[in-house]
Amino acid sequence: MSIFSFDFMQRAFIAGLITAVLAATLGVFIVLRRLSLVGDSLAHASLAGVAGGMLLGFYPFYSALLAAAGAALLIEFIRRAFPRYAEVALAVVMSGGMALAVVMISLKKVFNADLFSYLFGSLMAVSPADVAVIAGAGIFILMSIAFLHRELFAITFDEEAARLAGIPVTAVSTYFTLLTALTVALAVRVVGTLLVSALMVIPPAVSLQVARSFKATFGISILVALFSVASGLYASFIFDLAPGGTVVLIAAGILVAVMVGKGAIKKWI
Amino acid sequence: MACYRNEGEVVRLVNVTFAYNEAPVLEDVNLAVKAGDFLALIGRNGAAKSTLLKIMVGLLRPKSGEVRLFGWDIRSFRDWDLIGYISQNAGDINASFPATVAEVVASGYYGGWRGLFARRARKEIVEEALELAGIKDLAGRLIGELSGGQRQKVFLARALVKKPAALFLDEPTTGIDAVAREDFYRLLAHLNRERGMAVVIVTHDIGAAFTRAKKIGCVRDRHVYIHENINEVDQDHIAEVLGYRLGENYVYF
Repeated sequence: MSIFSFDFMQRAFIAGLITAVLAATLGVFIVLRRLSLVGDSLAHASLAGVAGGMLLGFYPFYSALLAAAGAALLIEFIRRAFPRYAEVALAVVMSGGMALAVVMISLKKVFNADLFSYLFGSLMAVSPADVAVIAGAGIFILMSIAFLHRELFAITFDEEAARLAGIPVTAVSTYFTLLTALTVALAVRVVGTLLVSALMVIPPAVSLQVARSFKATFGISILVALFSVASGLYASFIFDLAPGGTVVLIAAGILVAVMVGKGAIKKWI
Repeated sequence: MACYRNEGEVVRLVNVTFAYNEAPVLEDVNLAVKAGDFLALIGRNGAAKSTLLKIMVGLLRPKSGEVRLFGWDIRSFRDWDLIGYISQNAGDINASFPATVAEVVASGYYGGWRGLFARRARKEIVEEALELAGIKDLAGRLIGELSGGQRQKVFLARALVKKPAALFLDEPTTGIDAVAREDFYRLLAHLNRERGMAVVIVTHDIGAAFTRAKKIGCVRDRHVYIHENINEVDQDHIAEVLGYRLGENYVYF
């Protein structure tokens, strides 16, 4: 019997593959801008949103979206206040988000299976409404990136030169951080808060090892993410493992294999 | 072709004062760069040469005074196609950045909200810039694989892709060997002479500045002293006044 005969698996795969494409695409810019911890910070903030939603009776997925978007704006604001210490913004939002989440969880003592699914991801948890939100928001994010990718390239490569080329650097950067927040909140449903940033960082890291152009970097990053998510979700179903952890372990395995393989080829030549 | 508010004038600074944390580094600076000028800004490390260049292109805002770029107040200047800029940090790019030379050069073509709709840099525009910088054969190479001298030419090509009327360069030859440096200055002189491009360059290469530039600006003690006619200036005297010693940051060609 195929695993796709289960409705929840179909939903998990659709949601998982869409978030794979999103995370891998945005991840290329995030890694190259040396902001690998942005995903982690936003994920911790979205956990506060999840806890807040559970506490106040909202659907946690939506409150996670709001919390991540708010955190994205806060990161941009703090980054401007400490321009030379970008990581200050990430640390503040990451620890603040986590602190808020823990306090809210302790207030209602809501540490249940539902919260667990947001922490580590769950195959069963993806509802039809979740799939619709992920697909709709996913198309919006990809269209935004398609529209802005040249400007994002210029900013990522040389921010000062981009500013002098007349690119509205602050506006484009803020918008990109908001898109990242949206992606994180979407990905949390499938891979979980604790592992979402790995999906944004590992596929681009694999790609950076082998790509021979910026265009190819995207292609390889997306392929690695798609393969990791598909095989991870499949394995998590067959062996009854946490999907987020399985996906990330496969992606990390690919990274190690590529690094070892590349080293061996260099030695050979 | 873009319309100049004040034809023939590239940059004008009027009584410009700039301070970092209240400590002034430039005071009452007045200077003008005209179309076809080749101005070299020289001075010791920390003399605020780079600061001056950044003020000219609007990357830094002066505490007081007026900055005009192509006749426009810098705050309302929008025609970024008119200027090409190479920053001091350009050479420090991440060596593993996965971009080809052609992709980097094309990135100079996008800019402004107009750029969002102008879209793709046409292949021939990129090729023309590569050819002008003499690096057409490098188009498919990764930027991280190039030597320092080759990279600087890539950044020059990126600055040239919009066919600017003026180039602003901040110590573009730092860390590259003498032959590549000479080659780079020759290219700048060619662009200035044959294409009428105004060039403003911050440099420590006093020898090259005196060989290639038409005007010299000495940045010293928070002031800028412009020598309009380079032939009337004694190179060794300038070097001595600025506190350079032969062999230290001081290159003759």
